[in-house]
Amino acid sequence: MKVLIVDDSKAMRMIVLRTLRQAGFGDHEFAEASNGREALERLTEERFSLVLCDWNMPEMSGIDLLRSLRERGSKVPFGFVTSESSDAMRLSATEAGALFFITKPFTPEVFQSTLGSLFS
Amino acid sequence: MDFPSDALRNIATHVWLTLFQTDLHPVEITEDEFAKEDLAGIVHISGAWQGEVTVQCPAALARQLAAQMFAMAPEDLSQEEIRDALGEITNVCGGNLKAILPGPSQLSLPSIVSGSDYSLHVLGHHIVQQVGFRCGGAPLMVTVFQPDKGRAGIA
Repeated sequence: MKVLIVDDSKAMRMIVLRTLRQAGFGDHEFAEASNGREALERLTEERFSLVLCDWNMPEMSGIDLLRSLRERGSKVPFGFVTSESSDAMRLSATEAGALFFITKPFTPEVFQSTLGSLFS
Repeated sequence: MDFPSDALRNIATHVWLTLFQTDLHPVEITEDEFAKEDLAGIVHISGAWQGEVTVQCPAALARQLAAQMFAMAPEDLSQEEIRDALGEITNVCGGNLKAILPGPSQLSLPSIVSGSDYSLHVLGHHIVQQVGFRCGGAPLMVTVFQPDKGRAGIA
């Protein structure tokens, strides 16, 4: 699988990648983007199997990225990894087509239980 | 609404335990412990609840925390990476606080202030809760500001 990690914080992208490896999902290809617009460009040019995306980012937010992808007909599995977790945000994410919503800070166990079926 | 009394302590300890596998315990910290070079991360929450969350620590502690986040030697980190790390820590604390406050509201992107012998003020706002910790022997302060009563929170 080829996984795209989208977060404006380089430190958090490193933590997401490290946690994916700790959760046992290290045997895949990983790429990064620092905001929604950069991610959209990569997703247009390359084929990804999964997107893990922050919500609040400069240039283009995660939810706007997801909506843009779905409007273009992309069905790439997509979910959020974000510090915010209101019911309204979760509903917006689900309605936009997100498959999961992980709240920061997270543990390898959370990644295993949430992402296990997507990596299997 | 009354600000939840243990909110900051609970959030900070949860974030530190998960991100750094470190237990935090509240201690008395005075402002003069931050007279030397330090950094402060700030996020703003706006909407149904308005205010700011700040995370302040000495530059050396910020470098250590960033080193853990980047899994790099502290001396190999750039200033930009250290600011990024503290910004993300502040973002996570702010986001977790926002989750327990009235909504809907929005969380800003983090800002970072760095320097020495300065004091941080949010104009038209006051401190509603402040908790100090020691992390690796260094002071760490997490603070929540809210607008003064009768003000719209605009300077």
